[in-house]
Amino acid sequence: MVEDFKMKPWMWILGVVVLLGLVFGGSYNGLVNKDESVKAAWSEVSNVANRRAELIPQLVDVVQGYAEHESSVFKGVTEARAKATSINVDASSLASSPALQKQFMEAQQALSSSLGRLLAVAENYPNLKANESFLKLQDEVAGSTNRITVARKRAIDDSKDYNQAIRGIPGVIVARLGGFQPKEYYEGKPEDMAPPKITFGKKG
Amino acid sequence: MCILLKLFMVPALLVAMLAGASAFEVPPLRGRVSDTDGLLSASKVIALENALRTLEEKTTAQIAILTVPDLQGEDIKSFSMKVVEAWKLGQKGKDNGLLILCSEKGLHCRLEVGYGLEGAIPDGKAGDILRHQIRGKANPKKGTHDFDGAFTDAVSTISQIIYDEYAKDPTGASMRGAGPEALIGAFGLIVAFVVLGFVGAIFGVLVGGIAGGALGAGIAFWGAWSILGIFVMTVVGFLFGCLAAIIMSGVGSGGSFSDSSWSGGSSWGGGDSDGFSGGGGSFGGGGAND
Repeated sequence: MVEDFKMKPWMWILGVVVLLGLVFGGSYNGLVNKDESVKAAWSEVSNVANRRAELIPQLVDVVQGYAEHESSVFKGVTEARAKATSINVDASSLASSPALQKQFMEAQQALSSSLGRLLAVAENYPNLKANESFLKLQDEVAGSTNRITVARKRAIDDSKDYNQAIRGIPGVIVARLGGFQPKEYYEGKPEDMAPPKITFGKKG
Repeated sequence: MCILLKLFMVPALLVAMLAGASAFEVPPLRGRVSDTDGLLSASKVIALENALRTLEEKTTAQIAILTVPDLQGEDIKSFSMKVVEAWKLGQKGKDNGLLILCSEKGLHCRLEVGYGLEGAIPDGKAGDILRHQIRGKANPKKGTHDFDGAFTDAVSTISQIIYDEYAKDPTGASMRGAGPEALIGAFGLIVAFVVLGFVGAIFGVLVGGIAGGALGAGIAFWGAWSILGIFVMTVVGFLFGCLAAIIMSGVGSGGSFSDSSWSGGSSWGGGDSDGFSGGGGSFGGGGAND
């Protein structure tokens, strides 16, 4: 029985249809996954930026305990923090707007600068510099800033990956049918996020 | 012989040129302790490797030490991140990896902490370990260079933290969840094997193979794999399908299969030489450095 088996035309057509279904279905799934990855990545950027903002009042507190007269520095940090927080309201808009991403980045960079000045205050107050709470907060601010850098880089890498997928075969067809748009992003300079290096004798 | 050599030279040169085109090179992962800057004594390297291997055996956490003479122009944070992204320290899903990196004869050091260890070793704690356990004994700016002692203390402190965490929570369930993907994958393989086997038993081994190939290609597309991945999966699927067909038709006819010996059961060799490789863990940028 088995030896008489021959492939009829309808079997070939069915086979091709099934294969095409798998290919296009798979491609669509892939694009959906990448789309979600990009959104999740920008969400992470927003989250880590918020975590950094939360540390700042504690840091200001500790520094004020030793250097209460550095009012311009405290004012600078507080204002920069408020500005950054006001832009970082909604993660999903961040994902879809390169203009907002640019604003976000610039606000975070300004905050990094003023944080740098705040931390530099400790150079003139040896007791503050040795304070364990201060050191711990300094580590956490540095860690948070790094997390923002890493998260932003990953969001942009994910966007590039997605854009590549909707340009290739069969992605380009599926994208057109499924309404997948390219993801625009604002790259900026990689060093943008890092706070300026603290140099001796530099005052706010 | 000469012609053959020349034939290989051109593509080899091309590859070398392309590889050299990217300036930055991640140091290769050669073991748990890569002391390329010569800070540690040979016996200490062995002792540390043993301690770190034991830690992994008991808790699955992967700690690595890397010392380099220079950072190739990179900032220590970006250097460190590139290393851990390439080495993938820590188990996939648990993300319990940690890198201790020192550069320029220990002038700058960084602790890079994986996502899964950030709870036990937050940035402040990492900074603490750096300032006390490491810089307490090895601080080139202050003229001390006892790196053997410094790394021993650091590894000991970090290990203790991880052991304590592990004792509280052996399954690592509190760490970022390891997905049930492995279980689903295994189940899927069994189902595919049976189905392909039936198809092949009825329609012939070749058809079983083609079906397997199509299934492999389909899976690769669902997972949005690369062209190479799709090709590999198609071939693997084909072979898998043929195999399933052969076995199922053998089982079906109850015949000639019974005396073929499936030797095996012995291990894949490799012994216990520590072929250390990253478990696929990921990092978020937490840690501390100076």
